Amino acid sequence: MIISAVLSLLMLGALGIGIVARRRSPAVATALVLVSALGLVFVWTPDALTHIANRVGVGRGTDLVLYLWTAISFLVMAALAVQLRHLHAKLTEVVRRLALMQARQDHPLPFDSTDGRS
Amino acid sequence: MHGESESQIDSGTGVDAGIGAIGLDAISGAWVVMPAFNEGQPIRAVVEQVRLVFPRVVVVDDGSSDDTAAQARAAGADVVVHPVNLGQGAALQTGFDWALSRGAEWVITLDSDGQHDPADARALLARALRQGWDVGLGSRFLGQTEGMPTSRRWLLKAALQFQNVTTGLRLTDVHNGLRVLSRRALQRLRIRQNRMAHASEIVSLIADSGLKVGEGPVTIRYTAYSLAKGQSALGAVHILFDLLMARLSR
Repeated sequence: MIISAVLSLLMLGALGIGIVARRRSPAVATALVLVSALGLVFVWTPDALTHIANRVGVGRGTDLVLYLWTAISFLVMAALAVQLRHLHAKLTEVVRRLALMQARQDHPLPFDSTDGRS
Repeated sequence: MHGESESQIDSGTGVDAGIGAIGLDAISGAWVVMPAFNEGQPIRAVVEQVRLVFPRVVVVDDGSSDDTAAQARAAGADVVVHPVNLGQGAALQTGFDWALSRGAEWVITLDSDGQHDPADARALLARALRQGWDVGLGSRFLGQTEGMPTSRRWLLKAALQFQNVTTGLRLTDVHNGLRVLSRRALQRLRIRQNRMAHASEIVSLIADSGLKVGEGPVTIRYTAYSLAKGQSALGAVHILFDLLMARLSR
């Protein structure tokens, strides 16, 4: 009972976070909402989980949870990796622009030069 | 689809005609781009050496924690400073942007640790102008290698095979920091790989672009200083990973 209550609270918390964060990172939020919703259901109906597991050829409900957890974790990490790369690209553009702006101040072009020769 | 390219295999020693053969126009329209990270110790001497051949030099200080920028400025280079370290690829692209904004007709890339000889760069530029190339790539295997460790040689040969197979070009060297690129080439290329995979990216962009590319011999001086900073087998794995990730997220 206590475990079920604690897990339910955790699942509800995760569900809440997933809903709140849905705009910021849709892929991760969706995964979170799905997983926590399912988790919430199965905490209270463990036999249903085992039944489903048997249908797909897995011995125990907990084994099924483990396999699904692994698959979902991998997908979430892949999504995060892609996001990280995009962030890196944006950071690079900002740093480059800053660097070039500063350099234009440090190395102003001579006013009387028309073709860059000095 | 791979662009047309020619690999000029030449058994020369890298010594070529002097400034007269290139013409002052080409020299004044040429900018040397040197990415640098914590090279405060060698960079002043290196830049001074380079400026004897090419007066227009931009050093991109990639977030160094030492006095790289000050030393480069003292040697007479333009200095562009990245406030944080992004990687050699990013530093090169920043340098390209600077050089183009200053009207460069040709950009020469050189390492900041003294591995490259600016005379080789001049010879390569002369060759590119003569042959009508858009890009000239330095090849240590056409030239000389002083003090190259055997393990490094094997790693490079393996990487070279990988590059030739994946790009369709028949080059003789890989990840050589000495290159000459025309304004036309720079307008077609944009380096997106911030870190060491940029060297592979440049070659594959060239292969896909239809630009005319050739090679020339260059000498690489391996010193204890430069070896300590060079590519390791683990670095190679990292590069492959970066290239794969780029392909997947396209």
